[in-house]
Amino acid sequence: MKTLRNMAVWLDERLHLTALWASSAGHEVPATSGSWWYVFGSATLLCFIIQVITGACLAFVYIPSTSEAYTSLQYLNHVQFWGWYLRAIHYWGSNCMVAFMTCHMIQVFLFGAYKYPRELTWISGLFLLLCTLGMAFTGQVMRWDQDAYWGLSIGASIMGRIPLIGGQLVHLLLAGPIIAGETLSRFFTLHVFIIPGLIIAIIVMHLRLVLAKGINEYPRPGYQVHRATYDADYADIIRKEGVPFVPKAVDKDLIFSAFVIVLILVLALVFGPKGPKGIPDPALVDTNPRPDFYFLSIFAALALLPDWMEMLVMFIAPAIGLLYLLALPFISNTGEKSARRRPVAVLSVILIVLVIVTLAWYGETSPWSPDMVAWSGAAVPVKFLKGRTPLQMHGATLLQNKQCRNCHSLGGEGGERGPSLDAVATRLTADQMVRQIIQGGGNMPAYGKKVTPPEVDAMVSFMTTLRPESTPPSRDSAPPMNKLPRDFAVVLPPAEQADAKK
Amino acid sequence: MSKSRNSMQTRRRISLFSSVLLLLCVAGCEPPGKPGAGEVSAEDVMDFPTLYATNCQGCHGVDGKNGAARILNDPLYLTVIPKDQLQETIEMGRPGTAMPAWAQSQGGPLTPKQVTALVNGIEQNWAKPVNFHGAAVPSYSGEGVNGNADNGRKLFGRDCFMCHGPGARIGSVTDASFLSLVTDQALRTSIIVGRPDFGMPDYRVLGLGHALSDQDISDLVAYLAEKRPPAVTAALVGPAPGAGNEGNKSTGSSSERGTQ
Repeated sequence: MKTLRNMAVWLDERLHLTALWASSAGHEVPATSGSWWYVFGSATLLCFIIQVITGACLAFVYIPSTSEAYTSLQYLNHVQFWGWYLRAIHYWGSNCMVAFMTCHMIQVFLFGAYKYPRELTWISGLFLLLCTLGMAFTGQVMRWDQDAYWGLSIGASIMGRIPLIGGQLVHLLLAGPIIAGETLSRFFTLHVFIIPGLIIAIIVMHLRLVLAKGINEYPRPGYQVHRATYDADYADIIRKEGVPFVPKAVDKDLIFSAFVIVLILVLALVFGPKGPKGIPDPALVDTNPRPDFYFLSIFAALALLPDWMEMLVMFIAPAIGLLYLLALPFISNTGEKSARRRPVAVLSVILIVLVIVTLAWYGETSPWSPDMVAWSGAAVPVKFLKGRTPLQMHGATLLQNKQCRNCHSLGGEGGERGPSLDAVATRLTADQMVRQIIQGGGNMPAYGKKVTPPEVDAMVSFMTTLRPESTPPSRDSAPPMNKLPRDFAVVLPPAEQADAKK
Repeated sequence: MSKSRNSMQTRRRISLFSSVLLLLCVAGCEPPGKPGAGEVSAEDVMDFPTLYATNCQGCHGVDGKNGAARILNDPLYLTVIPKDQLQETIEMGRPGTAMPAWAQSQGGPLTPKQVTALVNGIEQNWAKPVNFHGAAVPSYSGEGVNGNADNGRKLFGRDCFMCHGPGARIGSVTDASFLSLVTDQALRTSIIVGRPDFGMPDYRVLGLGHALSDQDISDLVAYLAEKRPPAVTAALVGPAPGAGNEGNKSTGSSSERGTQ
């Protein structure tokens, strides 16, 4: 026993472990910071540790080559004992890491913790956020499936638009002009060595700053931060109500960490790993690529942008946003910390979160994408077919055959790119429908060359029945000047008929 | 004292319950997150319900009926149509109608095996040959039976006009647009099998409660074909080896073009 103690003392004299412990875990924090609001930072760190461990385990099996990446993931999913669970933990760990990091950032912002003297803590945290998003993006590429391929393509084409250096940047990102084997190696290196290395280095700096400048005290409404007096005020708080971080303030962090571990394990168990979805073959058009949830809002924003806003939203807005976040601790360096006295801050957070969540929801449902299998898979609801004439029935078949359903839903099934046809007869008259089909307009292509007059007649005849029984059909404000003959197919010359058939 | 003992007991129960739950999850049941057999590529799907639901039910309705296009879940239809015709219809589609070609060789998505799986699935699930065993059902294509349009007109007035005359309750079938969109084979098949899912009777009762003969059906088709706008008939004309109605050019030429 005595020998052991001597060894411990010897080690401690060499490594200064007790001093390290006392200055880190044992450092004094304001008692008010032992709050449930302060648990997100440690939760993010815990997620990162889980990611490192599971990532290292995955790297034992994963082969970063285009020919074998997909197979090695399939091996993990189906052959390796609980290999799928390892992948699932890594996936849900990354989701949780981004989620808790966002919570941490919002909390720090709302609690004014970025103000004097913690400017660098905020800035290092921002770089951690960027690195984490970098990890998320490169991690998505590791799956090397359709999501990865298209995510990468979109990333590269955005980058390619940067003036002057865009081409070179794409070359640097993809390790060549196109997505190829070298691309995966490059992203593997980024995902496994470079970005994690950066993250560890920045975490060390972040924690060092937390220790050096102290954990932010729980903000009191009405207390103003002044550069001249804050340090003394903080020292006063520590002297009066300071408690050692371990064991006094750490309890909530530990409880929340346990919750995070259980959360990740359960999510992984219930929802499993993501993908790989399908081989990354750009020739496969029947694909529905989606980024992971943290990029869904960007995905949606890019899809919904009008052309003229592209440069603005892709480059100018992110650059301004990032610069603003970097400059935030200097712009708002002193003054009120409490969210109760900073309505603009609270409203900004609510607005930004709402925008991101709404966009992410749009990204998930992507109503702008046609449902490419609706025409053959989504049956016409029976209520729309009961009591219809043979011509109308045929029109319903043509509506399917011409793939109208891919963009227009009927009975809730089908694409959402165009308006639902459930009550189209209350909005358009038969003539307006004919015009819309033939000439298109309002984002709808013109189908005039793809349909024959009898086909239009049949489809319109069916669509004029699509309305609730209680609602009258749409009608012209004045009787039409010229009425087409009912059998206008008859008047079309045979040559044009044959052309239209093509 | 007893309160703390109670809470101890409750805690023990909770921990026991959750450990049992966890053990059950890990050992007993298959975790819901465990990936299934993996994503099957569209070409490897051989299971009839999936194939049907993905490729056919948009037009032919859920479970082969109540769809906009021809009912498939109908023992009479499946008795009338020869299996090779069913196969050919799926493979090649019916040019000039809303039925596209599904075979990969024709630009469609399905492999030959998948087409066979669909044909077999339709036959096995929905055909009941026993219902018509020994009964003389009209021939599918009406080959060798020349239609008489004049007689067809009379039959139409007697058997069809009530529902399908111009402005009638169910809707006209002499409408130019309608006739431009359907082939003679489609008309023939419709007269034979009706639309049991939507209440249209089949040939067995269409003749004023009696069965229509092969000749009656051909006559009706010939009459309707005559009503078709000449321009469309010209456009629909194509080579039709072995087609039925030699006597009526338009009918014969497009009779092989099949069902809608």
